[in-house]
Amino acid sequence: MTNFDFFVDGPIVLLYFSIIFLVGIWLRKYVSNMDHFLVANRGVDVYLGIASLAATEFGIATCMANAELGFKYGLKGIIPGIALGGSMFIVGVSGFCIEPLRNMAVITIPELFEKKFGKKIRWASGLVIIIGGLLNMGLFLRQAGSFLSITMGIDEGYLEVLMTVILIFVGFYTVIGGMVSVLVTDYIQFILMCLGFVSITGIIIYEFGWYSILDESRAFHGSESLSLGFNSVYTLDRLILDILVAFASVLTWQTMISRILSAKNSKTAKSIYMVTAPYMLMRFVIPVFLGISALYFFGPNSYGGGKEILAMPNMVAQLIPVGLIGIVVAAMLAADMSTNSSYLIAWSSVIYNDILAPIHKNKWSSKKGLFYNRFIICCIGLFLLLYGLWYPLNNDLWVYMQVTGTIYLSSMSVLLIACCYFKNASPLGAAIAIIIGAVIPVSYLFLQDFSFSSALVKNIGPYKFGVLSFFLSSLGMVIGSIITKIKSK
Amino acid sequence: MKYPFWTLFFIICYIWYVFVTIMVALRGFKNIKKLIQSIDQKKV
Repeated sequence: MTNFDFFVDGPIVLLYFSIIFLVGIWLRKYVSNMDHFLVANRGVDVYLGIASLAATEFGIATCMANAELGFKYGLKGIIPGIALGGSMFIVGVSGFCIEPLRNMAVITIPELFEKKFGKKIRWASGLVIIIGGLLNMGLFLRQAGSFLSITMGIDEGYLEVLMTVILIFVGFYTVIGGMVSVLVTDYIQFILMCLGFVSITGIIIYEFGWYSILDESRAFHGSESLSLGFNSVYTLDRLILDILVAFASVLTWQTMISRILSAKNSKTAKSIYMVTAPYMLMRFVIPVFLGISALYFFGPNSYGGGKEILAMPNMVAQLIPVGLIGIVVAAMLAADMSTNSSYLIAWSSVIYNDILAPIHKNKWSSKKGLFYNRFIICCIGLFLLLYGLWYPLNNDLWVYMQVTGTIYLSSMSVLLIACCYFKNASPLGAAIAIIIGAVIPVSYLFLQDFSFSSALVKNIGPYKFGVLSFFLSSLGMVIGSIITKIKSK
Repeated sequence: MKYPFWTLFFIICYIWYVFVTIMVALRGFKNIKKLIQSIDQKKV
């Protein structure tokens, strides 16, 4: 059941699509070389950087994942947002790692690693970034399709069609306009998102009442759900992983770092992080609020057994009135499209710039480089479509995103810090860190699906695996560097 | 007032969100114009 009316709300969504389509076509003429395509001529100023970064990191998948946290854990679900916003603010104020990174004028992080650790480490870094990044993004399309099918009242049998339509549309303007197009469409989407989210929040508070929603959350989750500490449900290892993943994301997540690398200078880069930090908090505050509102709306027994993620979209479909739901759906589409377009270009830049570097050796013409970048984006799109349909989600979506992200976050953050501040860091240490950082989370993903290991792996849990990969990756870097130093003597 | 921390927390978050979005919307438009001009100038 949904309030979405194809004659009233449909044209609103269509209008949004048309505007993005026309802007995409218009910006095509501003992309003539690789610098325009990948880093928008390094001409991004503070406000456009904020809009783009905030829009990129808030997609339908994030919204559904974080609403699921709100539904399951109450206001405790905001903890990863506090960790992320806090990390971004600290890094923005101090310039920790991002200042030297921007000053080196590289396109990707592995490019920086080559200067310190050599070509092989650059290539290996590119590989783990792609594996972690693509797996992380793998379920975005499915979640978007699921959200749209519920809110627009489209039969779930058309999920694949919805996913394909979103992908083709996003792929279209990303392929032709590159980063310039991504930035400008992000800006439009950023404004629309604010309009949509503030409207939903206002309607929910008006309909349910602020205190009633919190009362319901407390009644179901207990008064503990209103505190920000850890407990038996939100455990200490989970809290530690939240903080580690937050810091590592801010330092190395390619879609965040690409905004730093596109900035005019390091001062602008730092300002972008400082002002965007509270948006990273809002990325959790809004969905978690929607999640606990869905708990109030449907009651605690309505969506259990892994279906909690569907509560928020169903509430939106049934609660938001005709006319406004069109704006909300357009806003959610905006959130999703800005995320997908930025992620597509971020991973394609790493594939072209780092993984294919031994083939093109930076000698290809701009025209050829542009062609291959566009081709890579199309291939990534195809992968996302197939993976999103195939992969069964066994855990919280947010946990899946953390574990897949850790494949590269653990080692890349260690390498980046070592690259910037550890004089004796060696290629051997870097190699050990990369291998350990990737093997542990990948093992978790595989072992949870095998019958002989499933029980043990689930007993240990994803958080300990995540924390372990950060810890052992750092240790690997230190030990490898010490071995190199001893050998050299 | 019930839940004073969370009530204040949400009010501050949402006021900040709306205020900065308006600021970014106004100034971000100028940034886009500048970005396009800089690309145009390099072409020339």
